[in-house]
Amino acid sequence: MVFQEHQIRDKILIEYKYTMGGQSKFFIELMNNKKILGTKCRKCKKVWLPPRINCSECYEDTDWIELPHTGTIQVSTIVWYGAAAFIQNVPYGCAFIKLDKADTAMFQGVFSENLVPSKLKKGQRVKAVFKKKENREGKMTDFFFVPEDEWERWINKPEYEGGD
Amino acid sequence: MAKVQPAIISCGFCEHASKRSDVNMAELVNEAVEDCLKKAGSIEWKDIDCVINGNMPAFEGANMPELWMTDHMAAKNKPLLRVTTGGTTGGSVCIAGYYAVASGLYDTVLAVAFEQQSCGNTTVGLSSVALGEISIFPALGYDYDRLKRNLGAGAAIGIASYQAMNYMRRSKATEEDLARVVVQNRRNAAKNWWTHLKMPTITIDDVLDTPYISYPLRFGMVCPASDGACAMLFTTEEKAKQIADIPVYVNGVASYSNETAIVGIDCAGAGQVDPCEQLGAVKSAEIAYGQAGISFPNKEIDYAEVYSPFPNQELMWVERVGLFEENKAPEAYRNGVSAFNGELPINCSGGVNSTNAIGASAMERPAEAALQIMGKAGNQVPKTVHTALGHGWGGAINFITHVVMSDEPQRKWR
Repeated sequence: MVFQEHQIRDKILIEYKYTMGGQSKFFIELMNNKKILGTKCRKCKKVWLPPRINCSECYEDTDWIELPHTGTIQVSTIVWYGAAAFIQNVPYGCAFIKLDKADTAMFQGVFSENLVPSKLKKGQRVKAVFKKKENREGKMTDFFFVPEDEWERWINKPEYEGGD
Repeated sequence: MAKVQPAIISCGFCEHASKRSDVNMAELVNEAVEDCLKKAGSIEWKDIDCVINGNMPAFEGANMPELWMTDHMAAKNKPLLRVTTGGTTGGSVCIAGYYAVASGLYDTVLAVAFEQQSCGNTTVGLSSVALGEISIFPALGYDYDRLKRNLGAGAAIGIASYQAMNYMRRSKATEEDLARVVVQNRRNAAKNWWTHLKMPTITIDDVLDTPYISYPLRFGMVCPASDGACAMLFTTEEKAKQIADIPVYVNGVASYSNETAIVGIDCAGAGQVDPCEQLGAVKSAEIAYGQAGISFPNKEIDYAEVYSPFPNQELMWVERVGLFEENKAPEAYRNGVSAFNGELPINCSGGVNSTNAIGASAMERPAEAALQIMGKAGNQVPKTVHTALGHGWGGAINFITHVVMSDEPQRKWR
């Protein structure tokens, strides 16, 4: 007897809604006021970005502080192949960026008109560019960084704007 | 036999609710850890040597959450072990905490279990994790939609309603008996600070007035889906004596599993045809009692917390783990033996029936039992508790965990 293969197709749909909890304020301020907020430990004064409501060094409470929109690249890469949501953006840069006044680095996209490794090397100064208000959703994709010398040109594009 | 006698010195909880949207997963865990350390006397974050963590990742959709919350549970630069065994995750995390101390490797171990069910869809998540035990159905050609209908809600109630039917046939328990268990649990929960469904004035009629979900279980009998976390601190006998007023010594632990037979159809498991027989629980309890030197659990155990999302399970478990004679639990509940001020109080925390943050639930059972021995429980029973049992269950073939603890170390009996 010849073996015949048979499969039953099935599909499971799961919806998730990730609660941001104490970090919610970061996303709300980002969405509404184009602010990048970090948290500062009451005891050791370490500034956390991404923010944490408790300091992870001394387990004390932290306070919200506003951070500047400029920072430096710590380490970076250029992405040439991505998941479905990002594939139309390739090539794009990704980097760990330490904002001025922050003590920890944040992972974020870095765009450039001339995307070459030398534009994203360690120590490169970058500045935040935001999506227009109607397109901001309270997600990390609401903003990205560009090299500081390109910033003026990026914020003059119709779909983007600069912070205050 | 343990190299070192482990003891519980503190248990912490966060406030449980259906939606804890004021905290994210890591912050939720942090609340329980802080509560645990606050009650642990001189122990501070830096004194913890090892951390055990667990939940069911399928529910929230965050894989490897232990990395996210490392800093929130004092695990940085420390050994961190993750344990996840479905519904008994909490029980297994607790047992792992016991092993870490009993092995002599670590002095002070923090065990943390949590679940933030509001982030995902528990029933869908449960279907994918429960696939192991219902794998026979796809093999018979049932697709997922059909499966959902056949198993009630495609989740735990599908298993529980068959258990309930068989239990009621065996013991002649009525729907009123099931409702009585619910009333006892929810009224107890109202007196405990961290619980979810607090119903101080609920009556049997209120429960019987709600619609059926899956016969014989009604809406009012079903556990809620909660967000919550629980933390326990284990340490050695010597340290515990210095730190705690009443250290709780863990004298016996066991985790056994059963073969499945949800509906008792052909080839769905070889030996078992009765879902309320629960040989795994009987075996598991025997082993744990044996380690703890307990010969007559119904006389020697002063307090028990059993894992009962559905009321029929509470009646079933207290019989299977040897606290009551077979088919005698409904009568005992009618006579108030299991009540807050009864001879053998059961689930005075409110039980899983009132609060079910699944990953944490099986840990909250031994944690609450330990607090009853310490005299620090939210709903402290009037009688003195010397020996207590914390039990955990997770699905038809999952592990059944037992933690037997006492205010005396193990060697007394040996």
